[in-house]
Order: sequence, then C-alpha cells, then structure tokens
Amino acid sequence: MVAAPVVNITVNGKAISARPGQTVLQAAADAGIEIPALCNHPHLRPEGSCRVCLVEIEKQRTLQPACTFPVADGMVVQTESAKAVESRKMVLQMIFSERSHYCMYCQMSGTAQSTDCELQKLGYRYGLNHWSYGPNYAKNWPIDATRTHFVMDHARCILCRRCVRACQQIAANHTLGVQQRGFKTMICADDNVQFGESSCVSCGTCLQVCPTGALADRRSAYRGHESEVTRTKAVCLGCSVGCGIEAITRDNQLLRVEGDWKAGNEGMLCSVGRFDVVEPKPVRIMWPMVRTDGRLVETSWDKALTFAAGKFRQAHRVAGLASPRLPNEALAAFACFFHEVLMSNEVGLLYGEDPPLELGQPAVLHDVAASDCIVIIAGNPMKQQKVVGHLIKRAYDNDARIIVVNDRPTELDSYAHLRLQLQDVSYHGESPFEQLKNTYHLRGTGVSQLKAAVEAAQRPVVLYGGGLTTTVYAALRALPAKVHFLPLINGTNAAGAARLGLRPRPVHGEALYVMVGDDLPDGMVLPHRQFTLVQSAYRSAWTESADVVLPAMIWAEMKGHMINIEGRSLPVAPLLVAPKSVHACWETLLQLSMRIGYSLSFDEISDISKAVV
Amino acid sequence: MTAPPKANGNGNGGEPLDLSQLDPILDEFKGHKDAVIPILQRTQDTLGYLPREALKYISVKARIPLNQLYGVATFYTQFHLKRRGRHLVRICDGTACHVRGAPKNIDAMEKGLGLAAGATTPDYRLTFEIVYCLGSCGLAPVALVDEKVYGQLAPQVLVERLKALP
Ligand code: SF4
Ligand code: SF4
Ligand code: SF4
Ligand code: FES
Repeated sequence: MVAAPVVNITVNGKAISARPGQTVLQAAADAGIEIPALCNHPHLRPEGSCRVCLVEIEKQRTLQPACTFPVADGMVVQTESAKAVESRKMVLQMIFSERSHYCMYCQMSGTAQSTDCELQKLGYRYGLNHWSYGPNYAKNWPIDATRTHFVMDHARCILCRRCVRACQQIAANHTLGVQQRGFKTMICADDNVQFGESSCVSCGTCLQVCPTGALADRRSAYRGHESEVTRTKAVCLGCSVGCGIEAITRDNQLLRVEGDWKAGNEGMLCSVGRFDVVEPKPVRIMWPMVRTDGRLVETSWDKALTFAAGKFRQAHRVAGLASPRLPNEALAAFACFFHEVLMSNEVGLLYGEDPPLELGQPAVLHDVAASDCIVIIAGNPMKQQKVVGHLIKRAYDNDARIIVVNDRPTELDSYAHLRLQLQDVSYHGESPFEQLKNTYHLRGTGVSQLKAAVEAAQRPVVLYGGGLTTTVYAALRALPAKVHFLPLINGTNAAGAARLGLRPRPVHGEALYVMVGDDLPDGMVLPHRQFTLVQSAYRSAWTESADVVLPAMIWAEMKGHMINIEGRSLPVAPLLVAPKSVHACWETLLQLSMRIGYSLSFDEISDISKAVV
Repeated sequence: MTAPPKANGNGNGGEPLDLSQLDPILDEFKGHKDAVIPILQRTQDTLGYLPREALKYISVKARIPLNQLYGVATFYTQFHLKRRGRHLVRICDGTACHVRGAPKNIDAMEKGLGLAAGATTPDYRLTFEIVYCLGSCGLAPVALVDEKVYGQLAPQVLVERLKALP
C-alpha cells in the first residue's frame, strides 16, 4: 500500500489533515487541540507509560494512548468523552497518591492559571480537589541534594521517565535509569549512587524536561512563575558552539537559563551555559578607577578617560588585548580604535588559539548528531565544546563510527572504533623510506584508513582542532567531497575576531589597553607595562594590577553578534539593563578617541562589524 | 528509606573477585547491546551473585550503561546483588503457614540464628528469605531448605536443623 500524503482524521468533531506517521497527539496538537499528556514530551521519543492521554477512538475496543497511537485515514477521536475523562481522572488520582505531593511546599505550585507543574495543571483542569486515595507518606521519600545546581525530591516524582529519556536520547550520557519495579520503582543514577557521585555531568537536560517539581533548580526555585518572568532567546557566550538559550529574567535579574529547542543545540546545554552563568561572580566594577598613591580610587568617567587619553597620547606605542568572548561590534571598535586613532598594529586577543583553517563543506551542529562516521582530529570537544561532545556521543549511540586522531588522551577515546596519532594522518608520516619522509604523495596507512571509513559512510563529519600541520591539512583536503567539516574553535568569538584580523599574539608597546569584558583571569597574568588600562566588569587580579580601571558590561547586557563554529553570525541580545554608570565598549572607545583628538565615528564601527557578518 | 549506599565494597566479605572469569561471557555476547539478561544470568551463574564490581566491569567492557544493568538486575527477583549463603532457607508466610505458626519460625530465625529476612550469615552459610506459598499448605508451617521441604515445623527443630548444616 502506498502511504497517503495526507491522513484525514476527526478529533472532537473537527476535521484535521494529519501527516502519515504522526501520532494522534501530534496531529491534534498541530490543529490546536491539546490532549493532556505527562510522560510525553515533544522532544523525546514517546513511550506511552502514564496513561493520562488515553482517548476514545472509534472502532477500538479500549481507550488508546494518543501519544503513541498512529493516525489512520478516517479515524474518529474523542479526547474529552465521558469515558476518556473518567479514566483520566482516575489515572491522575492514582498519580497524586503514588507519592506524597504536598503541592503547597513546591516551587512549581500555583493557582489554576499560574501553576508551572504539569500534573497540578491537570489536577485543576479535571477538578481534582482532594486526594481520593490519600497521599503516600508511608515511605520517607528521599531527597537527593548532592548535586551543586539542582535537587531531586522523589516525593514529587511521577515516574514519567522524561528525565531518563533526556539523559539517554539528548545528552547521551546514560546516567539516569529506573531501578526495582512495581511500587518500589525509583529513578536512580548509575548503580544507585547519589547524583553527586554519579556519572552525571550536570548538563541539566533532565531538569528542563521534568513536568513536576521533582527536579528543582536551586537558584531559580521560588523566584517566579512562568507567568511572572520574561523569556528571551539569546546565545550562550560560554564557548564557540554558541548554543541557543532561553534566558529567564525578572526584575532585571537572570534567574535561569534553558536550552532553546529550536536552535542547533536542540535544547541541550552544558553546565557552563546552563548553570555557571547564574553562579555568584566577583565584585562588579561600577565606576572608573584611577590609581592614586598606589591605590585604585573611584572617579568620574570624564576624569578617568581624560587621564587615560593623556597617557595614550604620550606613549610611543600603545598595545591592545581583547577578550575573545566579546561580540564582533566591541572587537571591531577596538581594532578600529587601534588602527585609526592610535595608529598602532599592536592589537590582538588576550588568549585563545588561532581558529583552524576553513576546509571543504561546513557542517552544522545537527550534521554531527546525524552523522554515521565522525572523525575528531586534535581538540577535545568533551571538554572545550561540550555540547558538540554530547552530539558525538548521540551519534555513537546510533552506531556511528568514531575515529579519534590525537597525540594526547581525550574524553572520547573510549568511544573510538579507531584511534590514531596525528603523524598517522600526515601524508609523509608513514613512508617506509627515510629519504622519502618529506614527500607528500605517499599515503600513510592512517590516511587510507581514514579515507576508507569516510568513503564507506553516508554522512561523514570531520571535527578538527587548531595547531594542525600542513601535511595533516593536506590529508584532510584530499578526503572525498561528501565530508562536512566543523572546526573546534577555542575562544567564544575567536572566529569573529579572526575575521577582524584579531588573533592571539604577543603585543608590544609601553602602554597597554586590555578590554576584558566579563572575562576572568583563570590564573593568566597580564604582561607588565608602564601604563595599563583594564576595562572589566569584575574585580580580578587583572584590575588589581592596572593603573586605570573602567567598568564594562557583562554578556547578558551586551548587544551585538558572535560567529560560532558553524560560521554563523548569531545575535547577542541584551537580556538585562546595565547599571547606569556602565557603558558599552564601543561607547567608551568613542569617548576616549575624542579625548585623544580624533573622533571615531560610530558609522565606521558599525560598517566594520557588518562587514564581518 | 535511607540514602542509597555508596559504591564501595563488593559485598563479598572483602574477598577479592576474579572478574576476568567474565571475559568469555562478554566475548560471546560481543556486539549484542540488548543481551543484558543473558549476560547477567551467566555472570550470576559464574560468580553466584552480581557484585557491583562485576556490573561496572560489564558496563565498561560491553559498553552497556551501568544504570541499564542495575535496572535489570533489580527488576527481576532472579538476580542478587549480594553474595548469597551456601544454603537457601525459605520460610513460607502465606495464609495457611501464617495461621499455623510461621511467625514463630521467622522469629526463631532472628533470635536463634541472628538472621533477618533477606539476610545472609557473615560466614555465607545461610541466606534466609520469606516467601508466600510454596504449594504445600497441607504441611503448614513449611520451610524449604535448598531443595528439601520441611513440614509442620517447630521453631526449635528448624534452628537445630539449620545449625547442623555444613
Ligand atoms: S524526576 Fe521528573 S522527569 Fe524524572 S521521572 Fe520523576 S517526574 Fe518524571
Ligand atoms: S544533568 Fe545531564 S547528565 Fe546529569 S542526569 Fe541530568 S541529563 Fe543526565
Ligand atoms: S557548549 Fe558552549 S555554547 Fe553550549 S552551553 Fe556549553 S558553553 Fe554554552
Ligand atoms: S502521555 Fe501518553 S501515556 Fe503518558
């Protein structure tokens, strides 16, 4: 039989054109009919275990779960028939009584309108106003608070297993599982160890999909219902992946970060992007400071800028270092300020690595997850571009071949079907003849192994880090055209910086301007100069050694763009309003240039940063 | 319920385990990620129980997530995570046995042998379990020691018999 392109069904009397292969629940949702569901989640494979979505389907003897039941032409569905509603109420009552849901203590609980708990919402919707079977307080349900960022309260767990599936299917981390059976069934980590001691990497994907208050975020709990907060789509500046985020803010405070399901990271984030951003930070710098009698003393913008401008004018040569975390606009203004105003080419990035050369067809993040053969050359994505690391693990679970080429051990070694050294894949690496070691036309066995693996695959992806030799590049260029390439760039916006001509390099000059943004030193020491200006959001070892300190915006206050590993320009949206006394970097540079005696126009800066995109 | 135990101790009275015995099993099921049940059965046949170390060993070698092994091992009653005694004592506490004195026998196990239900003696001689109906209600109260059924059992007799076992 040939599958019809459209399947016509009727739900609650409404005619719906569904796509073949859709479930009743999906088809109804597309038509704006919401069928209650708890274990089902649009981004997880359905498993049909909670029975809340049972609906009446004509010609079916019993009620059927809408979340797993496929549509068929002519199907007639009633989602709120007396029979369906009666069964749904009963299922909800049993779920409420399986554990002890004392809603009034739960951060998700609210009124019929404001509750964030999917279970409580259904309780209101179906008029459950008391416990039919009583809460189950026979058991002292454990709370596991051994993880830094979020807590698990088993009393509120409805065993929907969304968390388990998220950990398996999205994070591919396989920490969570289910132990025992029947009324003893519990969610557990690994072989029933505490979460904090388990293989959990705190990516928080399970937290994001939990329908109840069982998984609770420590920082945002009790700080506002969904109806009281603002959700803004933005991009994580934690690393070069540039994951899409949804920032949850209230009263100009960042409460929580969630993964954007629609972005390339498909809802996933790493612990850096989800949790570290809301952790407490060092003291914020609110006003400019100038070193007076050995001490940094707060002063006005005008005084600090005039003082710094004087120092820069006097200096024979001024050097500049900028953080690769800054958006294109700030970097463009910085580069422009050095080239046009200070007439200096001594400008580069504070740290990081030259982004690798561009090769062949660029890959997008989804290509990694969907690939059937992944080659990882140099770099360590499980550490430096974590979400990419998880996408690789996901592909591994779907039987992709994994090839790791690296001279150092990496976190993905145990997943590798083939493990090679870099010299194995350089064209002259394996010549049997000493005198031919440097000729390029001889093929190392590594190269032929790599070629064979890639040729046999349908959707091969090569991920490659920096610092590769020309011979390795030559080997990669010789791979079949179907390969997609993804550079493992270090430094959030190192790609954008490189397009502006800014790379990590030593800079010379007796005065130094360091544009830090909200970066932190992490042990790195600034080069010593006669005069140092540090523009930074936070107090750190860098600001303590400076002669002039200027405030800076943090990532959540900045506006602009970054370029991620896919080479895409992503908008950096302001999520919070900066304190009144803190200005954008480009604005500071304009003010400074005027005081130096050259007025940089804003058009100039925006033209440059536009040219980058 | 108390917090889950920490992942240490092999439940083997500190005696070292030779996990390389499992290699032939893992070789046999190589590449069959869904062969969790046969792998665990064969492991239990080899070691007598499923020590944590063995589950971890299998997880790493066969690349099966640890939670999956643990989930299956705790789902089926045929699997044991703790080393068992040489003799298995099952006392029936079904309705017939219960009314005819099973609680006294259970009590005697605790008082006479220091064995609570589900426990194993420190010398790994006896493991004691409570079951519900062994199908010999006519002989109630009944105990099954290894494969042998003892009927109309008095507490003293039970304790003496068990003490006499090697
Ligand atoms: S913790 Fe949350 S997501 Fe996981 S099973 Fe319980 S209710 Fe479902
Ligand atoms: S935080 Fe991530 S790794 Fe940890 S249990 Fe949840 S989904 Fe799994
Ligand atoms: S992988 Fe990078 S961009 Fe994505 S959440 Fe983590 S730090 Fe942020
Ligand atoms: S949502 Fe369909 S069974 Fe849970």
